[in-house]
Amino acid sequence: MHDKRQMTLSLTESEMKSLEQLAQRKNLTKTGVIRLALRLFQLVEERTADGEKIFFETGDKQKTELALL
Amino acid sequence: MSTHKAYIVDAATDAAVEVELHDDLNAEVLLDIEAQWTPGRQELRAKLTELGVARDQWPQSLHWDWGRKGVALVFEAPDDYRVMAVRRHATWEAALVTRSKDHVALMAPDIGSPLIYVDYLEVAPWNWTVEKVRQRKFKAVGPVLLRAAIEQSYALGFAGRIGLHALPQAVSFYASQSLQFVQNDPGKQNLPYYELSAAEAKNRTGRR
Repeated sequence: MHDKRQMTLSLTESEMKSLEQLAQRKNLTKTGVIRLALRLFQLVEERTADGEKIFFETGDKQKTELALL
Repeated sequence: MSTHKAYIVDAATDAAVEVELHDDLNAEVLLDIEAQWTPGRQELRAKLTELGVARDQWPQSLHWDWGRKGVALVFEAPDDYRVMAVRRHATWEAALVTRSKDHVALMAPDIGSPLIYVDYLEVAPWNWTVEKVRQRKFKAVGPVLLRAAIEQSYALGFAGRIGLHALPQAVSFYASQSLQFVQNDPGKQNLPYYELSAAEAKNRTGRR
């Protein structure tokens, strides 16, 4: 059920370092980071495709729009 | 990650069925769980629509998305969540997420004592009995995970205490598991909040 497919991923040294740091910080495997990042990408894509915007909110409720350009 | 043997019940025959309880998973597995459960959710949604069942009668977790919860957990609480799940062969039958930091009991006599907060608990869509639609495949799945949450509570020195917000359709289940209603929580969509006290945990697990 839902067999997984494998692929080879080529990353720069800096990208690999970022991946390893995220995996450590989030208690995930590197594959886990990439799979969850893909899910996040999908979520953002679903929402922004309909014209919605993304905001970050600070602790004191200040909102900043995430500029993707 | 650790795996233990546990038992659930075949709803058609009442026979005990051996399963694996995984009690220390990370958020990545939630993607696999949702991948397995999404077709069941879609099929059920289509059937309920076809039969004209009123929306307020639909299972209240039908819209849940464990993949989305996984993404949220790694951002909101990377050091404060634990995923537990029941697997039979290669199929995930139920999942639960707990949090162990900053949650305390609201119910006397345990007020202020730390507890394990059950953030989410759901059994696979094929394990839901949906009136006029179908009977569940396995039963007694949720209690396996609740027991695991109680064991986590003991392991952390929380005396078996757990707390959770219940979806209204799950209230009778939690009451049957010895959890006690504490209050409706206006901070959480007014959902009913339940706790298992240290004394009840002791009774339930047979600990001295």
